[in-house]
Amino acid sequence: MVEPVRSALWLGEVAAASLAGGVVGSISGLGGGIVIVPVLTVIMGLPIQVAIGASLVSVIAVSSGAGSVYVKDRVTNVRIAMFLELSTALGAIVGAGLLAPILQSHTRVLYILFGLVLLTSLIPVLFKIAEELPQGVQNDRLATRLKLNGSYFDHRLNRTVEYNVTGIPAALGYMFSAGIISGLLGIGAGVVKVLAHEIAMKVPTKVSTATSNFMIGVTAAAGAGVYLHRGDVMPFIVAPVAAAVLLGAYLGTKLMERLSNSRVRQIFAGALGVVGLEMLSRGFGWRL
Amino acid sequence: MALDVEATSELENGVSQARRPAEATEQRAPRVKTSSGAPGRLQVQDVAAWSLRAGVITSVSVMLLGLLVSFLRHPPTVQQMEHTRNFDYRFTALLSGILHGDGPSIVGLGVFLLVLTPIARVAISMVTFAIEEKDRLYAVITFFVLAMTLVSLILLH
Repeated sequence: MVEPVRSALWLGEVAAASLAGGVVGSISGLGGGIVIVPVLTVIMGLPIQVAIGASLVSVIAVSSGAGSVYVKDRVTNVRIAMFLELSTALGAIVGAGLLAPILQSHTRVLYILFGLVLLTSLIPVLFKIAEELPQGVQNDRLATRLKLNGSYFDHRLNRTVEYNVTGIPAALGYMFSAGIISGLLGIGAGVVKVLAHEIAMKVPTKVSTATSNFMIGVTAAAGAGVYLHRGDVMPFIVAPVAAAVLLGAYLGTKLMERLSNSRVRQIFAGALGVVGLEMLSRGFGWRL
Repeated sequence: MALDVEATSELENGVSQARRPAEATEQRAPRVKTSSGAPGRLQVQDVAAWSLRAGVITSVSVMLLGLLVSFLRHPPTVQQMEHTRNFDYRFTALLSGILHGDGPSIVGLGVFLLVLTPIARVAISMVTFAIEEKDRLYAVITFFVLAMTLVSLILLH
């Protein structure tokens, strides 16, 4: 084959994976790495570090691209995001600054533990898989104080949905752990953020994923230094990734706002299972 | 079900709290204000949305420009694309690359701008909370988020 054609096909392959990653990432609130990492490593045979570098760029691009739509449409709860980011950011500093030097040689164990935790947390999600909107949720004290309850216009139900927010102390714990995991393993840990919104705070699923989507960009940007420094952010990979993932994220937002909360939760549950298995495979060193 | 009076009173005009949300919400306009900012002022949501969009579109355009420049100058092979790494992320090195029309350096600038986007969003939100929404609590919360984000950006190197 002529060389320029091969190059174009290669770029097309990266872009196709990223387009799909952008759609899934923007709906599930996880940011695209979930599709991009396996495609780049398993199908295209690139090293895992390079795939993770691409995933970092993807997370920031999806978070910003989809975020601009979800925030403008008021699906994202900006107050929840800002308040919980405090806890995540603190966790990331503790994880990277204090724990990473101690636990550095045990990354594989950490991946396995994280994978097991994620697969276990599938259970409460599956329990309420068909639930459209959370019922009977009362604001807890902190939620009232911080004005965290909110409302969004649901295009599927064709009405404004008001929701209360509970379980803030537990959510702060989830977010702190999410930060620690990001600091230790250098991953966005978007799954933990969605779980905090879904399981602890009991907000509607679309608000959960949109708010997580909004938060992961900041966490990823805060940890970007390592990847840039190591040279894992490779120009001919991240450029097509960023462009295609942005387009995918835009399509994803249009789709998500029209889906039911229950469907969005199903997509998230699927993604959660995949991420859990992916973490186990990294821990055990399986080549999928 | 208790609605937060502070957040809803200006819209509901003192409608009894005992009303169920499902009934109460049907008459509302799609874009409901959840913040307590004065009407007509900039809301943090709009400012955040605008800054994210501007940042991501600019950075992705710069990256695509870098890709285009690379292909126009001497099209890289798959082998080269798989192995071109190590942007020099010192700003001076990046700048001299860009001035020499080096495609990968231009992509590097785009990556830089992309990483700055969410951080700029936090900074701009902080200012909006403080000045436009007059919400001191959230301005302080956002300040700490910004400070810790910058600390970890420096710490993680």
